[in-house]
This record gives sequence, structure tokens and C-alpha cells, in this order.
Amino acid sequence: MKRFRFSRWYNDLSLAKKLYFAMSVIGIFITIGLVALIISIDSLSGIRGYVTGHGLWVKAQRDGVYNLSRYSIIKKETDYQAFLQNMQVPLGDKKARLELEKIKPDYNIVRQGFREGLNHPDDINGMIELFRRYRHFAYLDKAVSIRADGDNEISKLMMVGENLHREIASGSASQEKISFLLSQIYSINKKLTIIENDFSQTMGEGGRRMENFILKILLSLLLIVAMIGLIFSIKLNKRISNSIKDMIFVAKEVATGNFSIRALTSSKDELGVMSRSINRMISNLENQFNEINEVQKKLRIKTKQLDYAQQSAHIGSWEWNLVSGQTEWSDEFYRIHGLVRGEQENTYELSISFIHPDDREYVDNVAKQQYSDQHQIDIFYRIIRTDGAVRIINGKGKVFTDSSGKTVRMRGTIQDVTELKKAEEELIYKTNQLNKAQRSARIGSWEWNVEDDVLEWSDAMYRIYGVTEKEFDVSYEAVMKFVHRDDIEYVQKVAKQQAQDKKRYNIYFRIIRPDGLELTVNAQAQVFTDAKGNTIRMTGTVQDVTRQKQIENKLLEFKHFFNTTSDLACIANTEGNFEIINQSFVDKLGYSNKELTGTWFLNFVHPDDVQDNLNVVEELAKGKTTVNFVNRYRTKDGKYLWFDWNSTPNAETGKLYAMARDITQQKENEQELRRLKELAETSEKIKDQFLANMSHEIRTPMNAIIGFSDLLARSSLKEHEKDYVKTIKHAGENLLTIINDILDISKIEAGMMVLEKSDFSIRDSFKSLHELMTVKAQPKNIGLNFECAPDVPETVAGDPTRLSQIMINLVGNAIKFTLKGEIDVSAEVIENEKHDLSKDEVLIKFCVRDTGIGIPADKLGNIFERFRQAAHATTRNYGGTGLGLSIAKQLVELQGGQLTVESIYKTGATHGETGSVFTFTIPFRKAVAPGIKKSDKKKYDLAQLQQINMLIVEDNPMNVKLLQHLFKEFNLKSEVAENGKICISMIKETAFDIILMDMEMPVLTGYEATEIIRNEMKNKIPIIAMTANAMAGEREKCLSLGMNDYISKPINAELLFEKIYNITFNAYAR
Amino acid sequence: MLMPDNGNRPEKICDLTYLNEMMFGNKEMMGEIINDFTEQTAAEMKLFHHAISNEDFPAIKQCAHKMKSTVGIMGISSLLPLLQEMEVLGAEAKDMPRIKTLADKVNEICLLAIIELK
Repeated sequence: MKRFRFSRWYNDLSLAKKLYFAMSVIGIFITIGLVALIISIDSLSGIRGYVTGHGLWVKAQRDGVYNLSRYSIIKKETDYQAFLQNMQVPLGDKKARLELEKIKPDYNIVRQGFREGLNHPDDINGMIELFRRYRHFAYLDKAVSIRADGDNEISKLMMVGENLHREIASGSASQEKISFLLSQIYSINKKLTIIENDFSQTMGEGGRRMENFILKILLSLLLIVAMIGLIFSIKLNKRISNSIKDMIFVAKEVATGNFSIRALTSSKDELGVMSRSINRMISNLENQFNEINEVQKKLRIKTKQLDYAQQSAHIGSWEWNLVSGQTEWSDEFYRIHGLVRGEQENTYELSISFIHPDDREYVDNVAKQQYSDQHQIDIFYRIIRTDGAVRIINGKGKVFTDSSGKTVRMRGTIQDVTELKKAEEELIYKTNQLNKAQRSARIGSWEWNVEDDVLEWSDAMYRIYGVTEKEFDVSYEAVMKFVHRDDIEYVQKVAKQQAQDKKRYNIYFRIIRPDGLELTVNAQAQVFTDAKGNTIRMTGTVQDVTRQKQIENKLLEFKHFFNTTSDLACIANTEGNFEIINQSFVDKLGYSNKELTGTWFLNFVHPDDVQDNLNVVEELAKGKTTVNFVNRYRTKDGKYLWFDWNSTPNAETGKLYAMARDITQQKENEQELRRLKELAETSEKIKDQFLANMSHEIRTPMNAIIGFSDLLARSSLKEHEKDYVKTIKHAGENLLTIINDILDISKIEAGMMVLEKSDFSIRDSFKSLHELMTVKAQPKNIGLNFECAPDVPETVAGDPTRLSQIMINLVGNAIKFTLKGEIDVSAEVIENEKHDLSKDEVLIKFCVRDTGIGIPADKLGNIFERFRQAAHATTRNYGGTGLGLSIAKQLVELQGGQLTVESIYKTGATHGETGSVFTFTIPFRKAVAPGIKKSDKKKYDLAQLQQINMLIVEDNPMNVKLLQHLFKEFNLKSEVAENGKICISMIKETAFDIILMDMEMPVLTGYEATEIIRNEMKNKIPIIAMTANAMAGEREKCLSLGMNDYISKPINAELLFEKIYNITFNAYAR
Repeated sequence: MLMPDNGNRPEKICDLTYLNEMMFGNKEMMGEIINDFTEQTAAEMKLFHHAISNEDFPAIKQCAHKMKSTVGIMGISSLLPLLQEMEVLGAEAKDMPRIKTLADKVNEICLLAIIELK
């Protein structure tokens, strides 16, 4: 059995019942309150009755005392009677009180007593009830006992009154006796007054207490009622609002499509019923929704399948409802037109607008016709898609009518058949091509279907046999009649053989055509059999090879000639590989024909001749028709033979035809001659070279001598020792000058002088020359003027060092031979007369004019010769080696110029009459850039370089310091590894952007480190090699190891930055 | 007269143009590098001597190579061909007499260079 639970019971109550329940509870409490109120009022009324009665009681007692007092004085019997009458009131009350104090009082006696006590009849019942109810109420109890005391005094008063009455009635009453009684009366009265007060106070206090008590009870009850009402209202309100809120929430969720939600159904009241109804409604909706979804899903799949099918078949469908005017196109329909669904309204007009202008009218007509005829249509037309492509469409359509025969709907498909149509056209084209090819190759084909015994010839077959399809009935026998008499037996034998073994044949034979022409043909045939091996079909070709045969014969003749001629002949293919070699060639070289064929013609050529021969091949490639060249060919026994070649290329095939003759003997003779001549020539050069080397060998110790003597001169020496050292030094310096001159001249003559080519300013050179030479001219008090004509370009390209060297020699020479006067040096541009100067060259004439002693006319011719001076005495007087002018002349000539001299010489002449003018010209290239500095534009971005972190791998502390200082100057970031091993451990820990790698290092070299970085670590960090190895192939070696670039030491800062920039930034940008 | 602007003075062994450029004329730094060069060269010459007396060709090669970049910085171009030849001979491990001759020359030039730099 279920246990009763109030909360559940209450929850399950209907709303109305909940309300009734609450009202009932409130009603009960109100009733209790009312009953309590009535009782209270009743009790209060009882109290009021007692109080009123007490008032009467007091009045009667006072009146009685008054009556007795009057009676004692006047002695009138009426007063005494009045006293007795007044005493009836207290006696009545006493009577009621005594009765009430009994356990089982007689209420009639009580009522009579109260009536005698003159109490109001309406109060009597209340007084009785009060007494009954509150008998034990302390105040009432006290009041009763006080009244009992009062009643005792009343009894006493009555006795005194009776004594007085008796005295007065006896008539002999003394005044004293009466006064005594009267004092007794007053004493009693006094006591009674106190008792009355006590009673009044007790009753008043009791009444107040009761009032308070009742008031508290009433207030409590009212509070309870109010609380119940409030709690109930709040609870009910909360319940209703929560339920409704929940239902609203559920309704909203459902509205958004969430059917899984349910309302709360905790109770069975109207709200619970409502929630359940809503939940049932949602369940129904969910089921319906799921069903709809399922159907939609299936529909989508079907549509998609249909769409796929249409897409793969390139078929689009359409439907036109003529009643509603609506058109419906499938996805493929859109795709075929290159349209996107939803971008444009699909109308009949839109679909027509895509049709090729040439086909539009036709399609429109057909469509209209279909509408009226109600026939099916199946047409081809072109459309132009949105992307401009023209597509071929196969359109099909059908008409649907209603019961009255009126067209209501049209439905159809379109198919993109462009590829199909193209393939068809291709097939037709190919067939035509094949026919054409057969015609041009003079190949005919035939097919014999054994089952039907049908033999078919292609057009070319008829043409080869010289017959027409009309006049000639094709059959095996008929064909055999054409075969040449000498070949018939052979042909028949082959045919028979093939009928047996069913293999393909490939034979040549001759035919005689009806027009008498004899042709050689090549016939091939193939047999097709079924599973049992029976012949079902034969196909074959016949080719007219008459012309080929003729050519073949001619070729044979050439071949014979080719192989019998004594000259060496060969044909090489476009790559230069031997294709055909004649017998003489084979015999001469000793290799077999097989060994030579296919090999490269240069394989046998002497290494020294290879480049020449390649040049020849290039000439041929450039279109030269015939070339002659000579080379050495290696024979099988290792000897080299000289061949004189004559080679002609075939312009069409690119092949090379070559003929050669053996000229070995002739060559050997020539070579011997040349050897002898060269021997003579080189001995001179060797001599020069020796001189150059020797000079160098001398120069090094000379530097030591001068250096140390200089050092010695600075140390503390005695005066005469200092003189010796100075002399050594001076002599050494002179000797070095001579040696340098010798070195230069020998260098020039040995062809070892290399000219520089850099941009420089002639004016700047003049300035520094002026400074330099003034030192020498000043002691002699000779004026020195340098002047550059305005037309001399600001910058020229040439060798400034050599120009200065020439000038120093010429000016030095002038200073040496001038005693007084001036030396003028000038430069000017001169017109291009003899020189073959190009546009960007300029010829500059330099003059050195002195007022020296001059040169005798007969010496002018050879002053430029080595070790020559104008007079033997010159050396003694003026010093010098006599090499300066020679060097100057040769340096001028090396630069493509000329040095000349004019002089006025007189024996015994005075100053001003003699003098020499040295004039030389040098062609210079005009410098490209206007200024000396080539380009200030840097090829790197320094700000970007400052972002990267570089690793310097270098063991040489000087180099490290150099680079670190350089980088610091530009705020570049770098770290240093002392060898390859440290480098590797560093890049494992830190991400560097680039490595600057020295190659030769202890522990692990740059080569080894790079290999590890690239191959083992698979790290692609950019690496720039830095090496002092100027050896050829070093750069390639570094790059092949996977380094990104190479820079040689000493490092050029600009170039280094440029390379770093290019590798880190340009490479990344790529 | 290879270097004409030297006039009759002996030809200078060191060309500090490169160093000057790289150091942006920082004399203090240049002095430091030059100091390094003199110290390093003295040490290298000892190494050379040691390698030659031990006939240690790889060490000769390595030493010559290292010196090449050092003297390059100081612009001692006259030393380069000698060192190059020594490096090649060291790599090929041949011609000790020639190596000795070359080493003597290198020693001499280095000495002059040091004097010049001081």
C-alpha cells in the first residue's frame, strides 16, 4: 500500500481544490478566532456585570450606614426600615455567592440571589458563566474572598443596627449608648470602605489582564490566518508561473525545431494535464517531422542519382508547364549551358538565347511546330555557353495533353554531344587520310572474307593494277594473270604454303599491267582463323615498290665505288657518329668497320685538334657548305696519322659527308721545320723570363738591405757609422730602382705585364703627379706645370698606374736634364686620324716639354733603346740606368699608343735655346659612369641584414677580428665558431640565418662540416665559403659540396654583404 | 718601378689600404690587428720551422694556407705567390729543399713587414 504523503496529495489536487483547501484552513482559523472573541466578550460582559453589581453593593451599604446614622438622631422608624431595605442588596449577592461556591450549585437560587442584589437580569447569566469558567482564576478567587470579608462586615453592621433599633425602640436609650453604637457603625463602615476598594482594584486588575490575554490570542489568530493566506498564494502562484514558463520554453524550442524537448509533468493538476498534452503534441510533431525528413532525404538521394546519371551522360532535362507557365530545369541542364542554378530566372526565352544565332530560328520553329503538332522532336543544334564555348546539343521533346487534347505540358532532354560529333568527324577525316596515304604510298589493301567468299579491293589496289572497278572482276585467278612469267611459280608456292601453315607472308614479285607497264610490288598478307583453325578471313596489302627497287640498284653501284676508292670516305650522322665508313678508312686506321660504326668521329682525333675540329663543326652548323681541315687520327696501334679533310653536310638530313687523304709524311716535314724555328724564337723568351725571375730574386734581399739599414739608421749610432748606414741605404735604394726598372722592362718584354682597366680621372692623376714630382724639381728650382685641356673627359677607363709610371719616367728624365727653366706637362684630346677608334674611345695626347740640354739629332733615333743614353758621359753626369725611356715607350705601346720625341740641341748653347718635347698618345675608353665612383647604389639592404644572425666559422683570430669589427661597424649580429666541430654543435642549439665558413681549419675543416650539415643533418642553412685558395676549381668544389656561394680572402666587404643579402633574402623571396 | 709613387724610396711591403677600408680608418683597431699580425706571424714562423724540420707536409700546407689569409689582410702581396707555392708543395708532399728556400724568403719578408709596420 502506498504511504500517504501530503505534498503529493496536495500537488495532485486540482487548482480549484487547492484553493478550496486553503480557504477551508483559513475559515477554520477564523472560526476559532470568532469563538474565542465571543467567549471573551461574554467573559468581559460577566466582569462588567460584577463590577456593576459591586457598584450597587457599595451604594446599598453606604445608604444603609446613612440610614442608621439618621435613625440614631431623628429616631424615626422609617429610617431603620430603609436601612433594612438597603441591606437586601448585599444579602442577595451573598446568597448567590454562597450557592455558587457549592460543588453543584442551584443556578435558580443563584439567579434569585443576584436579582435580590439588584443586578441587571441580562448580566446575570454572564456573571454565572464567568464564575463557572474562571472560578480558579486568581483574581476572581481573590475577589470572592474579599467579598466574603465584605459580607462578614455587613453581618456585623446589621447586628449593630439591630442593637440600635432595640435601644431606640425601648425608649430609654441613653445618648451615650447610641454614640457608642454609632462609633461601631462608623468603624464597620470604615472597614467596608477598604474592602470595597480592594474588590474594585482586584476586579479592575483581573479585567485588564483578561483583556490583554484575549487581545493577544486574537492577534495571534489573525497573524496565522494572514500567514497561511500569504504562503498559499505565493506557492500557488509560483507553481502556476513555473509550469507556464516551462511550457513557453518548450513551445519556443519546438518552434526552433528541437523536438526532443519535453515539458515537466510532476503533478496531476490542470498544469500537469496541460504539460502532458503539450508533450503528446510534441511527440506527434516529432514523428511527423522525422517522417518528412526521411521522405526528403530519399527524395534528395533520388534527385542526386538522377543528376549524376544526367551528368555522366551529359543529359539535362527540362519541363515546361504551359498552364502555370513554370519551367523546371535539371542541374545538368544548367551545367550544359554553363549556368548556375538560381542566378537567373529559368524561362523558355533564356534557354532560346543560348542557341547559336544560326540555329535559333530553326529550333524556335521546331518547338512551335511541336506545340501545334504535338509530335515528338529529336534535333541537333548548337549553343553558345556562358563561357563562350560552342557545344553541339541533341534536343528531344515530348508534348502532354489534357483530356480535351490541349497541350498542357512539354517535357524533354538535351544532351551535349559535342565530343561524340567530333569523334564522328575525326573518324571520317581519318578514313579520308588513310585513303590519301594509301594513294600517295602506292599501297593497296584487300580483304577476303572466306565464309561469304567476298574479295574486296581498296581504290589503290585498282590503281596499282591499272584496272578500274567497273571493268575488272576481282578474283584470285584474275590476279594471278598479272604476275610476271618468271615470278608466277614462286608466288603460287607462297600462296599454297600460306593456305597450309596460315602464317603471314611478305614477298616481292613483278606484275605486268594491262597497259604493258612492269611493276615490282611488295605483297603482305595475314590469315585469321577461328577456334578450330579454319580460315575465316584474310587481309593483305600490295605496294608498288618499282621506284624503290630502281634506287636500290643505283645505290649498289655507289656502294661499290665508295668501297673501292683509295681516298678515305665516311658519312656521319647529325651527332657526328660514324654511320658508314669505306674500306680504305678501315684499312688505314686498322679498326674494324664494326668498331668504327656508331662511334663519335672525335674519339680518334688527337686531343690538341679536338677544339679546332669542333670549330669546324660549328662553321658547318652555321651553314657553310664545304669545309677543309686537318687533324690527327689515332690508329689502332696508337700512332697518329695526319688527315686532310674535305667535308660537306647534307642540308636536309644534317648528315656529314667527308673525304680525307693521309698527309702524315707532309706534316712531319713541316713540323720539323717549325720546331727548329720555334726553338730559335723561344730561346729569346727564356732569356727574358730568366731576367724577370732573377730581378725578383734580387729585389727581395734588396728590400731586406734597405729595411734593415733604415732600422739601423734609427738606432743610436756614432756619427760616422750613421753616414755608412745612410750610404748603404742610398746605394740600396738606387740599386732597387735599377732592379725595378729591369724587372719592368723584362716583364714587358717577356709579355708578363698585365694592364689594369679601371675608371680614373686624368686630372686627379696630374694632381698627385704634380705633388710627387715637385719634391724633385724644387731643389733644382725648376718650375713644374701640369695642365689638362677642358675637352679631356672627367673619367676614362684605363690603367692609371701605368700612366703615372710613364709620366714619372718622362718628367723625372726632364727634371734630370734641365738645369734651369720650366717643365710643362699637358693633356688634350686629339682628332681621331689614324687610329681606328670606336665611338666610346677617346685619343688623348700627353706632352712633356722641358728646357733642358736637348738631344743630338743622331741620338734621337735610339734613345728609347734599352741601356742607351744620348751620350756615354750622360751616365756619369746624370746617373740612371737608361731604362726609363724604354719602359715609358713600351708602356705607351702596350696601351695602344705612340711615344715620340723632338729636340733642339746645340753645342755650347745658352739656356732657352735647347729643349726636348716628349709626346705620347693613349686611347682610352670613355668611362660609362660620369663620376669616378662606379655606383653608389648598394645591391643590398642594410636594415634587412641587421635582422639576421650570422655564424662566422674561422680559426684565424685576425680574420675573426676583422669580420667582427666590420660587422660591428654596421650593427650586424654574428657569433664565432673556431672550427667545424664547434660550428655544428652551435647550429644545433641556435637558429642562425647564414654561415660564413672558412675551409681550412683544425679539428674539422669547412669541407667536412658542410658535408655533415648538408648530408647528415639535412640542414639547408645558407653557407658562404671563405677561402684564401685562389686555385682554379675551388669555387666549383665548394658549390658541389652544397655551399651556396663563395668569396675569396681577403674579403671585400661590399661583395660579402651583397652575397649574404642575395642568399638570405633573394633566395627566400624565391 | 712597380709602385711609381714611391719615387726612390724602397718599395713598401705592406699595403694597408684594405685594412684601412675594412676598419673604416679606426686607427686603434688597426693597431690592434697589426699587433695581432706581428704576434701571430712570429708564432706561425715557429710552426713553419717546426713542420719543416719534421718534414710534416700537411702541417706545412695548413700553415701556408693560414698565412695566406693573414698576409692578405696586411696587403703583403709579395708573399702570396710564395705561400701559394708552399701550399701546393705541401699538399703534394714534395720538394723539401724548395720549401726550405721559400720558407726563408717568407721569413725574411715577414721580418721586413714587421719592421715596416712598427
